[in-house]
Amino acid sequence: MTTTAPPQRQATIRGWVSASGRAIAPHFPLETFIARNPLAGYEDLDHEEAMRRIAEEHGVLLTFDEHRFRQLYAQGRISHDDLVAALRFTVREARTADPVVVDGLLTTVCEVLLQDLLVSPPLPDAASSLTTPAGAISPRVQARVDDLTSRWLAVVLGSPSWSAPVRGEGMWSSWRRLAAVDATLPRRVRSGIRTSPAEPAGAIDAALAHWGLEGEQAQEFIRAHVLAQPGWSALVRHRAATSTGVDLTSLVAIRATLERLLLPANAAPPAPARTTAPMTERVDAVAAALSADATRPGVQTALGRILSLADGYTRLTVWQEAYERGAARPLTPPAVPVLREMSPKARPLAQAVFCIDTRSESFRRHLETAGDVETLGFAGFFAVPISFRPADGAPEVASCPVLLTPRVAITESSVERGAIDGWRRRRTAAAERGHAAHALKESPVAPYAFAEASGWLLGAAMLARTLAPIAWHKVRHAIERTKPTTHVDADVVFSLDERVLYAETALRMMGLVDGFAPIVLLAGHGASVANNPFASSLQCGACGGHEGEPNARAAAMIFNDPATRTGLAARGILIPDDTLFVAAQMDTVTDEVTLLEPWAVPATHEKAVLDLADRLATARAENAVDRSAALPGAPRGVERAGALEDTVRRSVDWAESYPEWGLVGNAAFIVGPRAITAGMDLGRRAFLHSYDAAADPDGSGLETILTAPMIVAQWINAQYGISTTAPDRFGAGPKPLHNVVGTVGVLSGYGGDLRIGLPWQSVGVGVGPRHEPVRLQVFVQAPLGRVNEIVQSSDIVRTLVMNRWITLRAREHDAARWMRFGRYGWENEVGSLLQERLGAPAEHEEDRKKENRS
Amino acid sequence: MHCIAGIVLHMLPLAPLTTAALVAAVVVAFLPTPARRTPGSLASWLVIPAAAVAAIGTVDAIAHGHDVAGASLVLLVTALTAVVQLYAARNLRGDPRSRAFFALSSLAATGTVASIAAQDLLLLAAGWTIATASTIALIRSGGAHPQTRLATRRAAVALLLGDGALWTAVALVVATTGSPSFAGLGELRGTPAVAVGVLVTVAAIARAGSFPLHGWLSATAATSTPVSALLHAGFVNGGALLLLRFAPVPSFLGPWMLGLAGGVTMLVATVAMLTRPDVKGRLVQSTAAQMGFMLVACAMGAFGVALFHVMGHALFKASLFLGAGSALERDLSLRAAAPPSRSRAGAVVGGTVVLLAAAGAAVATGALTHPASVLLLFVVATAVVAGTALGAGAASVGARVAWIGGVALAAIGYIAIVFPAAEALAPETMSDALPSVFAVALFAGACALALIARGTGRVADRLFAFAFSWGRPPLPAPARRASAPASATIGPFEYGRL
Repeated sequence: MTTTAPPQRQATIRGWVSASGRAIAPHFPLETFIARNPLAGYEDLDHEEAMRRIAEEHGVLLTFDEHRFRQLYAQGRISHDDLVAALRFTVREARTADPVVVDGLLTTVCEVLLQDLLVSPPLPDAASSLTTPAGAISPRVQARVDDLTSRWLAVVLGSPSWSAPVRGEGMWSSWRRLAAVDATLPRRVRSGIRTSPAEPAGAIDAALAHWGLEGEQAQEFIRAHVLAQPGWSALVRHRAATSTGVDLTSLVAIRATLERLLLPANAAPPAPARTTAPMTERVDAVAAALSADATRPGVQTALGRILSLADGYTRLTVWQEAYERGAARPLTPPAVPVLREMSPKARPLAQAVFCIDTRSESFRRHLETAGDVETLGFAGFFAVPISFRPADGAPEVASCPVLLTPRVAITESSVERGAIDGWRRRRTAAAERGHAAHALKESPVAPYAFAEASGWLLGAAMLARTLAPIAWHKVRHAIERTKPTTHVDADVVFSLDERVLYAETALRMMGLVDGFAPIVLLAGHGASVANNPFASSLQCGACGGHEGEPNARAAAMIFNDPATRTGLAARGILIPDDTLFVAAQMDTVTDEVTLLEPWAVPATHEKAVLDLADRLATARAENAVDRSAALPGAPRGVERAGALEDTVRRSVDWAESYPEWGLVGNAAFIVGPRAITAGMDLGRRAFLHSYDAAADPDGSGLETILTAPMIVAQWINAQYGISTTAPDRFGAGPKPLHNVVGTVGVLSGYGGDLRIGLPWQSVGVGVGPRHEPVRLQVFVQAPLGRVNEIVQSSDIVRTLVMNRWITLRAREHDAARWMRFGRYGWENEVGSLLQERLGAPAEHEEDRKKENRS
Repeated sequence: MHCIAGIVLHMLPLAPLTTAALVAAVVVAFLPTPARRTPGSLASWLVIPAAAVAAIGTVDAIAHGHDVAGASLVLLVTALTAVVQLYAARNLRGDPRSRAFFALSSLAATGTVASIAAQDLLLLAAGWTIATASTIALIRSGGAHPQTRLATRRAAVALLLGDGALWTAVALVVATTGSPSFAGLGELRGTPAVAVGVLVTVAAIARAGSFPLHGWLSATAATSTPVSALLHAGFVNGGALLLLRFAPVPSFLGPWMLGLAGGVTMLVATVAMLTRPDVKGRLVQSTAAQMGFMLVACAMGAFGVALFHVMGHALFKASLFLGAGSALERDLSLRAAAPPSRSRAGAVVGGTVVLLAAAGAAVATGALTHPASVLLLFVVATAVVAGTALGAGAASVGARVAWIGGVALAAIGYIAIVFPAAEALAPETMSDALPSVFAVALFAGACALALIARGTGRVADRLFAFAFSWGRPPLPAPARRASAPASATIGPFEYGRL
């Protein structure tokens, strides 16, 4: 075992490991939760083909299973028409109306396949066919390997108080050193670890040699080990990108070495048995449904030939398509010309720009109802890719989508030197007391008297926090010294050219190039929650899982800068002198919109800002009523004040497991002027990005929208979807069982795999899912040729659209029909979606009402 | 029913009311609940009055000077149950097992209150076993996770072993003295006395999750947060009261077993805690160490200190468990603050001032004459660590002086007021208490481990490897998937079969 593998062989093995790593996307540590598709590595496959592969390798489905779909069909959530349309859309052969004769009965391909969807035995539970030798020989040893590896990864990645012995050298070397003296391992295993190769790739080679695996089989072995605990592998992939010593090869080496040593020396894995669902059962079921006799000659062949057009995964694809048609309908902007006023509109009080986040949708609706305010949607980082250094001296955070690298660092500072120093010192002192308490808790001699003494204080705090969370929060808030006024230095760190460029890009992207109101509110968003390790999953996704505050401030500063405005005027965008950009932040738990730099509002705009504040307060109250109806445990007969107080409690209550619903239900991404969705209740299900083709002559704005915000929306959509359909593998499980590891993630229980994805409390209540897992439905109002060009020129967009990971629809103008991007270009949808929309608006209304009720 | 009536009749004046309210809470947990409330959560509306009655009982006990220890423990248990139930009403929304949680937590409180207030051995043991059984079921109410099931099995084995030992001890006492009353305990002599002492010790060790019955406690990290809070605050410390009640039994072996079990657990668990990256794993090891200290205090005959420790720790740990979700936030804020600049001189001054103050107080108040005064070593050590850490900080000199002064005052206050008061809480003495040198050796051992855990090298490696794998429950083997078609319900497997 001590012989080292030649470097070339080691390189081959490393190559195999990184190829296997593509099956699980890197997981961001929980401190900056980034919603994304954990299975993004499969996006270069057609969605249906990916489903097959994912079921094989991960043992999960990307959609609901057929039981659930049939249940939804029985409940009427999937309509019969949609199912037929989806079938005809997915299986080309089903479009023919030519009759087929089966056992003397006149039927069609479509009818046979429809019965197949409704009555055939469903796909058996997806079970991964990838197994490690331990999995095939002894599940007990497999669990032991999982156990030993996962606790090692936890200690390496989770930073315990005493971590010196595991630091310094690579993960594999320190494991070899420490596992060799672990008395709980059998002596034989320990000596085997001591004599294992010094290089992780060499250790994998030793395991491959032990099991006699080569080529394809060797790769499968490695993939099985990488995917045995996908959570840890995903975190290791993320960590490997930024630090040395932690990599997937070491992880596989540890697993393979333990497995080789813990299994009896002479054990050999049995050959895997693969079973496929027999066709005869399907034929029998369908024949019975058509009231044909399956025993008659020819029936088997005739039906079998038709049924072979669609296997179990095709059926799921059809169901999913049907499900999505139903979901998309109430979210589709109607194809009717938007009324254009003949006389120029009066200048509104304000224009308010919110993040594209689905939670903005209902707030915008209520703000518009409150009167005289236009709203727009734009990615919440306001196109300023920055990192932020807060005034309290905390480490810099990247505040932009993870797709981008921050261009510059913005620093928060203040001219009130005495006040800011005092404030900072207080915070440092508090942190030091935290360190001191930590030292007491973790010293072998000190924790006893410390627990006795501090227990009485903590006990009193526990009582207060549980009985009166709001009062407790107010008291704490009153004790804290208020933060002095600060400013950010965006106008210093960006050059004039950059400022003008960012400003112009942003304005053209959202179609705001003229008709500026006296106030333009730039509202980022954040979520205030207590005692919630998943807090960052509720923050702004466009700001890398942080609050949008720094970006809103930086953007407002740039737009108010006179030099920038002069530069903009030269490029044809004239911002009136009396227009003031105001930075704000919306709290998505309480719906409160706070002005971030109230001290920067000049007296000339005082009245306008106060008027706007009144409308924001009205919108907040309405939106709280709207939202809290859907929250578990909301007070009954939601009166306004009650709803508002309930949302405030949720934001500070350490016991609350449902602070808000986050982006649950997200399904559509609508790019176009607000006018096309104005007045529609989209139920917080749509990302709304403002866009006006006329303001973006060269189409570069649209290109940015489709290649950046849309991709982030797709990540979020895929994350919510997979956390709903596969909560056990790609969701984090119920919150009360969470056990936080360092700052990287949670375990469910005392050990095992790191739970990646969203907690169940983000996507469902009890055993019922609340999120509807539909692929992102993208609606773009822009010239089709322009959309076409972008799809063709951007790999990432083309891949998603062509492989059916998103559905892209576009139209030229308000009154045009929506065209769907299919494999062969723009097509009218097979089925009657468009006719229905035009011909039966009443039905559409009803759908929407139904949607609201549910 | 007869049993409950019996319990009620034999209790402290106000205890029957408390018990009745708790029993009613168990029933109420099964009544239909308004749709917006978590099923079963109405139980807390009866546990709150139970706690109020217990509070009156405590005041009454202090006024009349009878069994203050018992009365305050009853208050502690009912109040904690009420708070945790209120927390769970918001935390367990949607949990299919919430009803079980509320019913069983009320039942566990009933059992504990009954065992504390009991005036004879049979009722004490009955209450003890009600608490054990309902706690095992509570752990199970965490869900269908295989780890939760394993935790339930482990808890059942270890705890029922302890209960078996207790019932055997009770049977032995009744057989020897002919009566289940506490009064007969002091009359036990010879082999029966030693046997009773040993058996009761086993029961206390099992409850406290101490070595060698420590395996179950770490597995309970796989149950829900509210259950953990109750378990670590109100359940594991039951041994203190049990040992207090059995203190009159002259058993030389019992204290040694207690001291060794508690001492080993203290030493190992504190180091194991340092190697745990997960918040609940740390809290579990911390509890094990704290309960080890409680057992050692009992072995030294310092029941008052043990009881006071139990109460402070219960509040401490319940609060930390309920706030376990903030671990990430706390880590981030500690990391975010500028690294404290270490002032060596400040550390030395801070440590010395506090040490002198505490030592002075110990000499001046005559606390050193008390047999259990050696435990003050741990108090002084805490004060010195605190003084050193605060002295080394970057805060202004004035602030540091104020903080160090505060710590010194707290140490003096503890030694001058709390220590004697704690001793008065349970004036019982034990005939065969361990010698002071035992605690000194334990203290020295803890200091040595602290030193090793700061360094690196072969010894540190071995200690790390040992502590790292200490008390690790195994991962359950993955269940073979049933080939039967899945049901149409969706949801996490933790919510699985009921």
